[in-house]
Amino acid sequence: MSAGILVAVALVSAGLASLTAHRALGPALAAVGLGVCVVVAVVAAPLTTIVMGGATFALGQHGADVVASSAASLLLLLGVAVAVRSTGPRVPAALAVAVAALTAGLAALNGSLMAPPSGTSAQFQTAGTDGPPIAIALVTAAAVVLAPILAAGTDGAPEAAGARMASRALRVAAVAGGLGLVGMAWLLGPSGPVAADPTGVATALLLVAGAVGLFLGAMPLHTIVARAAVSGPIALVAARAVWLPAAFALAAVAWEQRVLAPAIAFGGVAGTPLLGEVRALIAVVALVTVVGGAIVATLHGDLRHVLAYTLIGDAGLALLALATADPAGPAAATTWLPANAVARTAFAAWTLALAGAWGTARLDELDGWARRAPLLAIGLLGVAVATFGLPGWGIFTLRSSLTQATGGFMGSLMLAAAWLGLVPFVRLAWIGLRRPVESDGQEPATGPGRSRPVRSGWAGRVDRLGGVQSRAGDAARPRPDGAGGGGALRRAGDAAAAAWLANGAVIAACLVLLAAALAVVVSLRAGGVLASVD
Amino acid sequence: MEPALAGVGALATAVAVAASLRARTAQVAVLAMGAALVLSPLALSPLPAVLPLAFWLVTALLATYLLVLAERVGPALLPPLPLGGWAEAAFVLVGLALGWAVAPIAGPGRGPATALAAGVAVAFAAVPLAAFSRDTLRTAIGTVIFLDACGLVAASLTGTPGQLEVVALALAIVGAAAASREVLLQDLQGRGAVPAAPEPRAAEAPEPRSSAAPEPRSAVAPGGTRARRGRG
Repeated sequence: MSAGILVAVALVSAGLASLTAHRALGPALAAVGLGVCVVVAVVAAPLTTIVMGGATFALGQHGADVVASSAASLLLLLGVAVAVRSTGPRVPAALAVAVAALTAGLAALNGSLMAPPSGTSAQFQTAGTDGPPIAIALVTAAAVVLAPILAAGTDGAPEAAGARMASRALRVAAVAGGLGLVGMAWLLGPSGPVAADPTGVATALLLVAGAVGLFLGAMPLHTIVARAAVSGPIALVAARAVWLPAAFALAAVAWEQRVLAPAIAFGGVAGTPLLGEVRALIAVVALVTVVGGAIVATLHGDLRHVLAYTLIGDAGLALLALATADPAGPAAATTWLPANAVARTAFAAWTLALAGAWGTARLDELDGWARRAPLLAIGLLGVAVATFGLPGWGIFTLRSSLTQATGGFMGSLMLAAAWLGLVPFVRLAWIGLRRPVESDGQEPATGPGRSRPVRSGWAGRVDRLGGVQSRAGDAARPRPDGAGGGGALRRAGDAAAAAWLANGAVIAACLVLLAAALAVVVSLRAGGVLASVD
Repeated sequence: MEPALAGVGALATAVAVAASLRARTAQVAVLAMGAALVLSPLALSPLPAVLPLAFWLVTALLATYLLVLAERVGPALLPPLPLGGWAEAAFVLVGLALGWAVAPIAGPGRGPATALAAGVAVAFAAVPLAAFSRDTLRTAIGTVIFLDACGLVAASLTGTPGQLEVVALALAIVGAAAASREVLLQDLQGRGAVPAAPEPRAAEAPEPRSSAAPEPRSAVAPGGTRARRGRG
């Protein structure tokens, strides 16, 4: 099956979701359409070829998994967004652009990720060396297109501050893409990797690592990425802060395997002090990013910031692939990056569903969420398991391999730091399990998640599973996702609209479960992919 | 013949970028930027294949058109550059010479020196615009030509890019232009110079950013619909 069909399905379904987003039956119709899309994306996993520019490229099973998983998880997220009516009309289309660019970008890697080139340290070949720059350019194109939409939110309200932030996000993406292109070309001649002196290799590595750090939001370059992540619709945040960075980092890893390693071997500069210092610098930045992201995500009082800084923490682990001279690091990263992105997308879907059902993203207003929405509690558990895995699982092994590839004390430190990312999940679970208490010591009779269900009987029980409550008490509260929900809140008094909102929250919770299940499956299968890489 | 053509192409690209910097009106700045985009493949030797070259030409024109649409909404006159314009344009020509001079350092078996010269010249114009300019249109021009500069520098190292590389870079450039147009409109709406898309009739009369700027001729709503605006 051609990837073109998958992209076409994504575009058509996103268009359908966009057209029906503001109608009465919109959420249900869009969710059904997207569900079909997801099934198609998953069933189409044995994707072997893709046609671009008249040329046919081969994709291995790993590439097929990446494409299918990315499309499926992003579409699931879009389904959640549409179900809780948090998207503006441009969001589904923009997400479809991201899916299409992601698919094309990954395909442009032209098999570079499927396995390391044979004789990595001794042979030089041009095959696959042009894939990483093409992928970088395509991912940059998608990122710059998403920048103004992320900064403007979904209600289209013109704000000079939003425009300034959009301009910064746009420039960050363009500068990162440009630096990546130049850095990748530094060690490439017309006939493949060139012999370089230590300065040349160090310069190229610094340029590419800087581009990756800038694009992914590694500390201290995280500010603009973090602001864009918390200001835009969550559905797009996942595309800009999860999948496009993953594709960007995958391209950098492919360059490391295809160009950097042969150039180092050809030039005989392995083990030179300058190269070691550059790698150490990248490792330190990675460590600071992982630890800093985990700390901020744990301490912050806003769900969107928790999501954003969790994603920024992942940038540190992605950088690690460039900080190690051990080929096991990049090899593990090629599988860990997409598997982690699926899990993080499920986390974004969970965030969106919880914030949509509660009408707030403030953690101090979400006390006891797990008691009232068991489906979402199961979803968070699934997301956490998929993100970190269990001993023996693929993603568990990959994370260990990636962090310990730096070797020595730094490797152990990175492994410990990587597990700090579990702390925000523990805090979210603790908030969900504790009993909500108002200032007078009584349980709130009304308020987020506590007021009467929209319907009674079995329908009401289903509503409660999804965390549905009356929106009447929340009408004055601003939506956490920036915009788009205002119209829905204004219609809170309308019984029909409230019923559809209820259905949307339940559908969103079910889609979160589906996304978490997909992430768990990918997390498990990652081990098999690693075995084939080795 | 081709090296000579590449030299002329590099020089023409640098001159176009310098003209974009020196321009006092928004329209001339954008059109000069478009000329630089169109001319930049001429700095490569050998030239890219016909099909990707045609694709590049179309996307360069599209990127220019998108910024022309945005430029029409704002004031016609651009704010002056910090050093007056001539100095910035001179920097571009210095960049051209510098790129030509340092090309041999890259070593043998690399791409054309003319591409490096043109790339450094365009980068000398792009970096100040993208990093330091406070005008949204100049920032947009800087962002777009920065990608062009990076493509030229990369081509100077790896040789003439392949078909897919040209297509991918062209998509990035046209994407940056489209996003820049959106940012420009958001900025103008935030300043109250353009009516918001959902309620175009309720908007106040536009206020130009500069007192010296004449009234814009029309407004382009973010959704793509053009609304005529009064002159009074």
